[in-house]
Amino acid sequence: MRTLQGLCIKTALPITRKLLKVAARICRIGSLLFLLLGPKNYQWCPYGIKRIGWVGITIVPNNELRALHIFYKYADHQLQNSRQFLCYVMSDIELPKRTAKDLVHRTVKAGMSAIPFVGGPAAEFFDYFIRSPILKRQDEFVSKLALGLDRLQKNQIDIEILHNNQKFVTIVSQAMVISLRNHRKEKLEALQNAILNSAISNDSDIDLELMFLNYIDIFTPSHLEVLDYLNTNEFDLKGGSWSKYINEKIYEALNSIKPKYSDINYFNVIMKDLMDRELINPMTRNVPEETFYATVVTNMGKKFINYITISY
Amino acid sequence: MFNVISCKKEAKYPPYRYQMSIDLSFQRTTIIEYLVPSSAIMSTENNLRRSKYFIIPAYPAKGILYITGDNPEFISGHVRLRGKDHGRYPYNYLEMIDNIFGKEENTIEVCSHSVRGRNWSHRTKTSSCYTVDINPETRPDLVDDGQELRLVSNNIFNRSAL
Repeated sequence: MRTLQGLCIKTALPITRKLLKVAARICRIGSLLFLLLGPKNYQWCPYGIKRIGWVGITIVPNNELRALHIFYKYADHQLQNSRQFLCYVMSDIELPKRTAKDLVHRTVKAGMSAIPFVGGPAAEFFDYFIRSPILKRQDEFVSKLALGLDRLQKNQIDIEILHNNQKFVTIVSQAMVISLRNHRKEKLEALQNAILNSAISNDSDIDLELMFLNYIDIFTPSHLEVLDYLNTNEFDLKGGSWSKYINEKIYEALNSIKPKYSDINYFNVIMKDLMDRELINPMTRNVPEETFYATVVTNMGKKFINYITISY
Repeated sequence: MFNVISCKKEAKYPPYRYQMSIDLSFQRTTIIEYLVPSSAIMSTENNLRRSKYFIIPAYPAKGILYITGDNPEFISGHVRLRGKDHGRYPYNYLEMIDNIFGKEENTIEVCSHSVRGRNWSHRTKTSSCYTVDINPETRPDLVDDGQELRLVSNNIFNRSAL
């Protein structure tokens, strides 16, 4: 059968929803969008877009019907989208119960409100500077994550398809709970990168990713720093075994850069943690007795580093 | 959504007819306001406002667009246009939009087909828009899928026609 699009336009008819979404992206705030469609009813419009008009059109002489839909862009579709998406994901997350610190915060705030004349502004001051720690932490994490998702969209990754990706929702919810338990910048960045990497990769192993998230939760920034150092440097593995000599060599090298690892016992604990999780393993076989330089980070360790590092 | 710039009463008895000049936030255009003559609905100020119709002639098309007093943020209407073949815009369609909402140079025309864009040497009345079509035979400014537009940056156009 020869259809109009086959005969004249030579392409399949475009999907209206996609057309409108793209138009919302490329137009500035305050723009008008005119969509000419057939008589079929059309209601949906993307975030940041509002319908401000509908005009019926009669086509003469054959009396066909068309409809002109007029839209107005009032907000940035992209940012709105990321935030709404995060709100959607977060609505399923069970947040930790309020801590004693939160209760103290509420009590102190209530007490300050009771002070005549000073109470109102003082309470506002308290709320502004010493806001409920959990809420503040959550807001910051979500804001940074939204910016990261925006960057993904600019790299042509459609984050809206992630709505139905159960794996991704699981990762976000898990990471969100971990973020509330941590305040260190390095760990929060690792969590954000982990979420963004999960959004990019479709065929990754969910079990492995959840395990890595757990590592981020358990490890200190020092663990991440030592692992990164071991990954970017090679060491002399003479003799093919993990000896005290090698451990001390690494310790000396790292200590020369960062004096904070002055206590070798502290350093040994970090190394043991990394070894227990098979992220580093300097045990090598068939290694000659002479000098032999190699990395001590395992494949698992490299996967972990890639997972917590931005890769777009 | 709109501001009344000038108003002139042209009829002495109901139905009153006003010739008004209204700034629709897009373009200064002349529209006609009708007050529906009914003593019942004119009894209160609210009803008076509700009974107002701001009518915009859809020139050069035949028909009218209208805004009501109680919902000034929505435009409705009906127009009649002579059609073109091959799925093209009807005659005077783009001219009607330019006339009512004002001419906008920075417009993108998605799935443009025969609409002439900036690449055409012989320009027409509506030739200032940036045209996109998936079919290179139509000679658009950009050959791309209108559902993706990966080569077009965000937030650069002031109007879009789809």
